[in-house]
Amino acid sequence: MNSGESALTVTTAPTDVAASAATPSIASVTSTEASDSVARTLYLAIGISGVMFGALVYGAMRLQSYPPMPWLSPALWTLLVGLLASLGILARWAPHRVLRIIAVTAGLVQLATILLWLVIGEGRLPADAGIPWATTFTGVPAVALAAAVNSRVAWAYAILVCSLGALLRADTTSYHHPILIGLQDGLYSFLLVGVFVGLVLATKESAVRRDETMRAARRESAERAGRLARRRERLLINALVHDSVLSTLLMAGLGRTSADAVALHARRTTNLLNSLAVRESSTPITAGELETRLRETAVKLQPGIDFVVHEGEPAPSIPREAAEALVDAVAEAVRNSALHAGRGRGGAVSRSIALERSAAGVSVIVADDGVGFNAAEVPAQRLGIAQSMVGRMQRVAGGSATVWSAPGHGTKITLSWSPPDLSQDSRAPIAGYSFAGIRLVTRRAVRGALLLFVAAHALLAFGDRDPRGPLVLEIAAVLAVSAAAVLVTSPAPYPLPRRTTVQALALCAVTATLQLFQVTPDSALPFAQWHLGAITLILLVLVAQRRIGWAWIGYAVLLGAMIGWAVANGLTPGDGVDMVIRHAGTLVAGSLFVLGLRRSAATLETINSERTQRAIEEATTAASLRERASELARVNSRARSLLDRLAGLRVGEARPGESEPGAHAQAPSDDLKPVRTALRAECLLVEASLRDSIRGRSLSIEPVITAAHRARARGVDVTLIDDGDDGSDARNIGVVATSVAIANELERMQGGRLTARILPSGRPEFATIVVESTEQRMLTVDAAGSVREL
Amino acid sequence: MEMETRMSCYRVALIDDHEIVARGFADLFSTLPEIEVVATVDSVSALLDSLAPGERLDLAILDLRLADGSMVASNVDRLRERGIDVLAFTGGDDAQLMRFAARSGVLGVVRKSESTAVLLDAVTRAAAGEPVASTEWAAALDGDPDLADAGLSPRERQVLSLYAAGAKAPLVASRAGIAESTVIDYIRRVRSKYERVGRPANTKIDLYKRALEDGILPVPGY
Repeated sequence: MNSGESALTVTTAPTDVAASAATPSIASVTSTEASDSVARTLYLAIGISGVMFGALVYGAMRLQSYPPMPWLSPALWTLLVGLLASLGILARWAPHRVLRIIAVTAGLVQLATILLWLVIGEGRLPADAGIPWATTFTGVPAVALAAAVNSRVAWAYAILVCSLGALLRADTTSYHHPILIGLQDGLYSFLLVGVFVGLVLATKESAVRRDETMRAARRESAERAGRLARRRERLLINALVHDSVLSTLLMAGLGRTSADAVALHARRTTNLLNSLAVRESSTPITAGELETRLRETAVKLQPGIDFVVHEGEPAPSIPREAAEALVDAVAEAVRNSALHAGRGRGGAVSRSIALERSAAGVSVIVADDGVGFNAAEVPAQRLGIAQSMVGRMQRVAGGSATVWSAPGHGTKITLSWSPPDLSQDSRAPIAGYSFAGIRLVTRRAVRGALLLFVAAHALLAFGDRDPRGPLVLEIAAVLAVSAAAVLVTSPAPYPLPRRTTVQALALCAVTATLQLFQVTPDSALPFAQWHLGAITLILLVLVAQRRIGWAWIGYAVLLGAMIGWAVANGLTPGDGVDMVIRHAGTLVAGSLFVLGLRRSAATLETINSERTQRAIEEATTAASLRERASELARVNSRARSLLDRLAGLRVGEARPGESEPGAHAQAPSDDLKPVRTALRAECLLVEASLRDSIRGRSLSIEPVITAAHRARARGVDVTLIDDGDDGSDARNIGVVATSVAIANELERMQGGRLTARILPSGRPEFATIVVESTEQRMLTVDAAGSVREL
Repeated sequence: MEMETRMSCYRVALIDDHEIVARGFADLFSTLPEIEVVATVDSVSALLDSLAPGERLDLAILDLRLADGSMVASNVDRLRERGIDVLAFTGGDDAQLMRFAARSGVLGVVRKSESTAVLLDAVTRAAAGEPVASTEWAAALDGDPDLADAGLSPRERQVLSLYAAGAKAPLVASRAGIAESTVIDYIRRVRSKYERVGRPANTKIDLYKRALEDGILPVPGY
């Protein structure tokens, strides 16, 4: 307490500020679980795809070697495939920075390969290996890069590498319309690469958003848990401490009880305060540790006792406080049973302790088959030890205790603890997360992609076609596949409705069938089989729409059809496979990615709930401890020294000069001597100020504290009540004005009573002050701080 | 009209889990000629057990927080069922406890640290069955977010808030412009109406649930 300064200084009460401070940053530690998981899944898929495509282009690579430096092509190929493969191998363990570097390097090597080829490469490529192997590869490094860098760079790269690839194709093709070829290649590549890159970027984005959502949800859960814990702790401390401290001080102050009784009570109170003091370390105890301690305790008390452990799913670790309460309570139960159960019984009593552990918490059952008692008849407080057992468990968040007993049927005491209930927590649902990426692709982007799709394939189909085939059928084919594309990208729930899927596949079948009329095996047109790529893209989107099975069935049918067509046209089945196999790569890559994401979604769910649980536990413990510490600090700072003095009172203190503690025998009336007057007055003053800080809350500040103290010493009865809402800043003006007004009034009073009350929110006035001394006055304070007299 | 002869002695019991408190007050109230303190116990169960069937008890002075883990509402209910009026005593630190008590129909709630005169007056009135209006009680009711459920009239609200502000009967009467006896009438009505608050069909279950929600934990033994 400030020893009154002349000016009225106003200080805000520190307690609630501390209590309302944000929960510690446990929950706000940057969590990037989803982003990390997505990245790793991507890299794995990329790695596998890289190896696959490497195998696919190997043959062409051998045929396309560069004569002056025949080792160059294989070297570059090895480098590229090696980088991509290492990406896949390291995907699980390597730090993200390393993976990103590898991915970017792969992209650069790809770029360099094409550039090098452009610069030093000479001549046209043979017709049967007419596609530069580097450009076949283009997709994978681009996706790797997209996984590693931000979207702007990813798209820039995609455009660059496709353009260069187009250039290269134009440069090296032995076909007679090189520019057209280049254009077709560029456009188609960009379509394919663009779809992949777009999906990857969208998935990354959705992962980032999910991380944010999870973080926010976790923070909210933690804050709520903290609030609940603070409130609980406040009520708990109120119940235990205030009652005890206030009554000790009051009774000491009123002087109606003997010093001895006061001392005893004060000692019990200080013991209580000590026992509640916050311990520094509060690391949780594992279920195994708990078992060990329980076993030790039980065996120590009752060597022969039966100790059984039932284990369910892995039990959570237990807060230290709860574990200690549990062990103490079990010890009490055993002791109690040892004392009472065998009474009046001839035979021995068998006792047992059963420990059950499960995800729902732990519980210990202490049972005996002794005499038992009628629990209904015996009043609760006479259970004595049972009472403190129950109380001990109830003092702990999540703890509980039940006592069952019947005469002749023994006694069973169940003590348990369960972790805070998560079920009311909003777990942001990530069930639909599997390929949420596609949901984030805006309609505008989808429309753009569709446009590109139709344009590219139209170009491929009509830019250069075999005039022998009927044009109308080719147009129909393009329309059919475009319709299929529109269908599979229509806004629809997950997974794509079966009807839509089947319709799309049917359209693809139509396209393929129509094209059968177009293409003859001797057709030298490089993009005569454009429909294969188009259908593959459709199938890829089906995979993205979680119709993986259907997509692969479609592909299998396509494969079969091509084989059939090859055979029917005098080619080997192998030739048929050859035509379609490169598209398999695309489909495999997409399928891998989607499947990988689905698996990681389940893990993410578990990780998230674990993390949330931990955040809640930490927030609860931290908030409880902080609240208790601040409440105890307040009580201790105001009342402790006085309590200690009261606790140390002996009979001799009552009358100065009598210093012998055992003076009872001398004069019986000494026992009843009340406490000394000055001490009593101090007790009353401290009791009142403590009550002020509890019931008067925000009014318990300077200048009120000093003014009240002085006024009470003069005999004024001061009552402070704060019924306002907690902690809104708008209150400050009102609080300050009210406290100044209170102090002013108190300074003027020599007796009588003053009552000040902050009203609940929503009233026309902020606070009222009633002064009853020589006259009776009533003042009101409004929210703006102006004081009026009624 | 003749007033009925007052009983020469009101039998009063004190229920408080802090022994020195119970004894201290017992000594104080015994100084009143018409009060006989017949028991000081630490729980309602102890009191009810010790009463012979048919034995009369006029008033129980009940501490709102007891160490046996009992709840206010159930304590008050049990006493009233037995035909004993209840005057609640409180340390003055918990408004919610006072509300629970008021909803269960105590005659009043008085702060233990009030002056002797106020305490004696309160006990005298309560022993005679009259309600006791105190600042704490009024503030607790006035601050009840569910107060609207009681259906108090504007006048009753005004009287209640004046009491809550700290005024006593004379000041309340003058501010409200009514006679003191009318004020007392209003208080009686407020008291009985407030018993209605939060009392739907499943009274006890609701209060119990509310107490749990609010985290009012039973006080453990230590």
